[in-house]
Amino acid sequence: MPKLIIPAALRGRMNHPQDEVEVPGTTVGDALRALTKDHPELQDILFVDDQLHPSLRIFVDDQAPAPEQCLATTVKEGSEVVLLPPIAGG
Amino acid sequence: MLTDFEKERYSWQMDVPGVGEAGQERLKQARVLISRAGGVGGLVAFQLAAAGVGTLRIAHAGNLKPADLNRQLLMTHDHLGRLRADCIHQTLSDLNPLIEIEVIPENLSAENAPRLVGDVDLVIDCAPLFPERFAMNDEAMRQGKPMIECPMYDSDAYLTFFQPGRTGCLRCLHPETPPEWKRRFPVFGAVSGTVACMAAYEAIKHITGIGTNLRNTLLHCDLATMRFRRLPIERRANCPYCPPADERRSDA
Repeated sequence: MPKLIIPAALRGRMNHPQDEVEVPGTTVGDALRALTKDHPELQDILFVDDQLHPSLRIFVDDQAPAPEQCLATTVKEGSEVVLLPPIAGG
Repeated sequence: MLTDFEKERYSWQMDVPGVGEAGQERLKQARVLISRAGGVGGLVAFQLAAAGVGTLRIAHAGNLKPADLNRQLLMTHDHLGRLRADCIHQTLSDLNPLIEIEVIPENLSAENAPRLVGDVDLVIDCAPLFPERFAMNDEAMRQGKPMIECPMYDSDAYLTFFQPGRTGCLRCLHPETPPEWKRRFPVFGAVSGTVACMAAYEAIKHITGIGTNLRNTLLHCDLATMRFRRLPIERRANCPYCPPADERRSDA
């Protein structure tokens, strides 16, 4: 299963924070929907009208999929998917 | 020209390969704008003052509050209730009286950005609100000034170096203001200070010409897990804020 890497900025929004979550799925979209199924509190941070939030950055195995193709990007066993929301602490 | 005292004061850093007197002279001639001197910006300013950056312009409004003191290390207890700008100026002047320190008691905005960005070489974005960050970004891109972006939250820190024409910009990284972002965020000074020191060294590298800056690369640090990742980022197609791409496209 792909592994989602959850940064502190998202962990703080989770009812049961985890820094890594293994989820089923063969695409980024599958993996994120599996995450929000278990953690519905993240739904509004990750998605807007079922589309990826435009300011959320996703990286798959340290590469950046094109934003418009991100949800369809293939992930495989052991893939690491990093989710980075915008932050502005200064 | 460096004075004999300056050569002595900065002698240990002038020993860094590639710096020498020429690099120190470049630091002395540099003019840097820092947007806010809180938990991140204050430590950026402290490091750049120590390193001998010749002119530091810092924009930070308001009076000092008790809740600032866990991380805003330029601020001192005896200044509670007084202008933060005065405390910033005093602390930096005590550290290094040889440099020019200009503290503006205003936060950066679309209105004052042209004036504040206008005659500096480099800007460092340390504001806690996205409208301020976007105002800094938009003006820096318009004027072709490089910008170091170094936000943090809790144990997360991001760091990247935006160079107009050669990289994307903050609007490319995060096109929209996240509605859920709140002014108050969880922070230990040790975390904000960590990304601040890395941002200050990005500035020193750029000014002196040593090392390699984080162009087209986002460094993500999670200090809770001690995971550090270098992630590729790029300019968004048709970004209205970026100037035309520089065909050199070199990261050197």
